[in-house]
Amino acid sequence: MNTTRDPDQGYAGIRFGKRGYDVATLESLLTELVTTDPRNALPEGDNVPIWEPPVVGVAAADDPLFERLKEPGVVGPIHRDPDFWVPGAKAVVSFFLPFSEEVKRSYERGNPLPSLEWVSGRLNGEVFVNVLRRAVASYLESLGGRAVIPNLDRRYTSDKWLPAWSERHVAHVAGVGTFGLHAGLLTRKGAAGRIGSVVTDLPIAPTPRPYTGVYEYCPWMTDGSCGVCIPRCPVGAIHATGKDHDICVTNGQNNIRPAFHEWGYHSCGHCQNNLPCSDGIPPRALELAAAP
Amino acid sequence: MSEDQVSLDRPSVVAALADYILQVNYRGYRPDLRKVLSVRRSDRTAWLRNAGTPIRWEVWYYIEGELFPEPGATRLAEGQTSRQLAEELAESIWDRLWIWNGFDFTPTSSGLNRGTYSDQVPPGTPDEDAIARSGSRP
Repeated sequence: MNTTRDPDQGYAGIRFGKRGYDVATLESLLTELVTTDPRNALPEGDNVPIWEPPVVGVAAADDPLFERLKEPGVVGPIHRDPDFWVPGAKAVVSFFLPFSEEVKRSYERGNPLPSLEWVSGRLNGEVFVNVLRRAVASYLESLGGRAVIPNLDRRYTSDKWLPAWSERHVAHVAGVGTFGLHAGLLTRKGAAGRIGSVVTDLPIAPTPRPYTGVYEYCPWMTDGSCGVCIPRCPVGAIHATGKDHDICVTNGQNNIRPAFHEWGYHSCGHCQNNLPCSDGIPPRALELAAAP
Repeated sequence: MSEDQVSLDRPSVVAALADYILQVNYRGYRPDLRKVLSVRRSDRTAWLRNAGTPIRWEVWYYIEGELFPEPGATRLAEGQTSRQLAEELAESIWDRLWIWNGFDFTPTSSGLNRGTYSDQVPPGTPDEDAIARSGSRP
């Protein structure tokens, strides 16, 4: 029987030394989990890490943008307010996890298929996103608040691809990033990643949105420059005005899933890798933002 | 039982917790921070192991802190058996753990509202990851 009390052992949440629910503390909690929890690793090969530390933002539960998410053409009427998940909700914590350098480097520029590391990281990495979602909720509960994870809630649903809680849109409201031509979220740590969120009735101070435009970090949508993701898509799903999701989905069904059938994985990631926005905000977008 | 009817196996969860409780209450109460409840995808049975790098088609949860955030939750009371406490603890977290595990094995799920969950993707099901990224925009 183990009798040691090595602080490096065990669930990071129980040795987390800080208290408080400001965004910096929440970022510290998530960073500790990302850097110490053994589940942040691919099950294959050299077990490289899947994720790097996150970008974290907080939205006020009564932010008027949540009402806009219910409009057709944004998400739609299926989208639920924070108050639906937690009556009396005060805040929404959102985090973007960037894929590790090891996973991103594995993605070959000239290959029409994603790498094994990518498809594994996409599936197994989402399990770790769940670990983080639950850790944030548990931590907020330990401080006396109520906390619900919409994407891990029995009431969560979707109508085809329209969800009752859109992690991307919520992240945008929380100041985590803007959208791009490829419909992904662009953050200061890039576009290659996944997103999680937790709704709570604790009055966490919202983080300011460092942007005003929905597409502010995407040069193509701002001044027509860049557009690298258009030819990057191996099946032409991205065009000058957006993304044709039917083409994208067909590629997943007909090419990606069969190629990784034995592994049990799927998910293309061409529009998140080997692009000017893969690792950070594109320089051109920063120039445009700095221009008078 | 067909694959799409498989869900978390409660007897094996109780058995694993009972085994853990038995061990950490031997010669005093010494909770073992390394121990995790592991669940395999194929039949959703659980067992006890030490934390470590995940293997394919397995998910696991720390017993101390993650499954049971309250310190001392796994301490046996006077006259209580490990099996009794394991059943009480399993009951206290069952709904939550069932949902956690269901979503962990269906990371591209559209939700658990459709009844039983499955990680088996039926033929013709769209790649939901691709859809999610390419669907609605503001």
